[in-house]
Amino acid sequence: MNKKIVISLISFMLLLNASDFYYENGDIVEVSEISQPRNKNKIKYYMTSKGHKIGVKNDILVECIEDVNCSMVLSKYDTLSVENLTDSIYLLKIDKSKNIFEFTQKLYLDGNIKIAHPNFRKERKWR
Amino acid sequence: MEIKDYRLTAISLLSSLFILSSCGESSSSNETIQNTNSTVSNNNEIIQDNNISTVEDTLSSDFNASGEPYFKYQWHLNSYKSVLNDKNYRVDDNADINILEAWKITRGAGVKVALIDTGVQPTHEDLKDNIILIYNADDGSNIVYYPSVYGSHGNTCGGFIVAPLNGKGVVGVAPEAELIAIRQNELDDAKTIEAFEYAKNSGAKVISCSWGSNDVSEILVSELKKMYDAGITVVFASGNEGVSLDVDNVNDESEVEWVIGVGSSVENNDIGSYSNYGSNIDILAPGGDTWESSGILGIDDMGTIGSKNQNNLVNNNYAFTDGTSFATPVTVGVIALMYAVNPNITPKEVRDIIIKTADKIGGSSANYNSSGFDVRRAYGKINASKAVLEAKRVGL
Repeated sequence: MNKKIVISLISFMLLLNASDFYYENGDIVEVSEISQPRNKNKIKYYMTSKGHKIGVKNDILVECIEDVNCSMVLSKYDTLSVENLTDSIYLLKIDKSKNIFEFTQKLYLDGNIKIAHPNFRKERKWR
Repeated sequence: MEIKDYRLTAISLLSSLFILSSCGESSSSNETIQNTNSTVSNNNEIIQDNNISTVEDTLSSDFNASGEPYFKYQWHLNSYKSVLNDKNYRVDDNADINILEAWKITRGAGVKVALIDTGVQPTHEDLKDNIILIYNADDGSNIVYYPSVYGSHGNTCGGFIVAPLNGKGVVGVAPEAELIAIRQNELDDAKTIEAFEYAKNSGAKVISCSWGSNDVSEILVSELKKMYDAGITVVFASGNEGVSLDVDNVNDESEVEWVIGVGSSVENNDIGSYSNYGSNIDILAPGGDTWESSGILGIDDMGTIGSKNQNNLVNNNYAFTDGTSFATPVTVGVIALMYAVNPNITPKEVRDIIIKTADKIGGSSANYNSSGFDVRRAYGKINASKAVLEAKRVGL
């Protein structure tokens, strides 16, 4: 729980700077929006602090910690829909007016949730 | 130069001698090296005796890869005195994966292999007989083929795994395995997870992924762990930039602990200059090099339309190509053969076996450490026959 408190404090400090970020393996990954031509899928593109381009819409992937009723955990959040992709992974859709990164941060800091990040669109290379 | 081990078993050696004598000519002809199917037995047993495995004659009388018109150009399956050397391409005698002995034990019958890729041409003459399921994870439909100017990468990958023995074109590494062809062309993580779930729920034992992002998402790593825990071996290509993956801010799918990462060996029986490498890449397999030699022969990514890479040797249904994309399905084919002889091996055992039985290629350029690992060549090049024999042994 100490880790969560530290992360919360760091998050709060970063929020004061109004920076968009998400959590990955406990680390903060900051993102900066990239101006892109309009696309029909309405995907917004960002460059991460690790130098990777990611696309996001209004959907989030979540996995709860083991032995937790994840549906119940997620029911307290203001979502448009919650879809069970696997036994433990859920796809949430939220209103487009909400900041997806802030929403994801809140989910991640929930003690019952192990992973929460936007449903990324990434540059996949066929090799 | 590495000496190929044709002496895995006493019977293997005798069998090889029989090949030469019965054909009445040198083994330089790939068209005759398979003509050894004189005795038929339904017994697939391997007898263990003082760590020497002997394979009873298991080669069915109708299995003869030389009947495939282009088998002679498939140096990744049989490179010994390849006829490509007569066409001004240089192919090392030992560049193949030593598959011929493995095929005497199994051709992968009964093993379901999933391919997550751009889709396949389900009517292709060298795919259709072994495709058991098609699924489009992007839209939930069963439309998996969209012919375009870019072709379909999945066509080529699928052929390297399961192209059947049918007297046409080429043959896959596991020509009797069953292919679950999943199109997943859109790039979002949720669709990718759906593709893996479809593969798992369809009974796949091994999943072939010839793609990557250098930036694997945390939740996808979790999904890959679930595949591993479910007894499914997932294989990823390392990429074609010729760079080390051991750098800050690169976290590729092929480096994930729960998968097997594959780089390319090429016609000179060493790592390809384009093949990405790193401390988390496990194995090399032939991926070819069209710049330095012929490339590796498979199904054309344009399907029946055909591309321009036929080298004036094959028809439009087939093409020479290169990349870790193709080393990956070659590896997947070998793993399918391993599952065929031992359905109970775990993904950890699969990895341990292919590492343990790999050929240490690279000659004096290589620097394998005490664990058998070379930073560029991983644990070496996959050896199909040794891996299959070891998989069988583990099950005894």
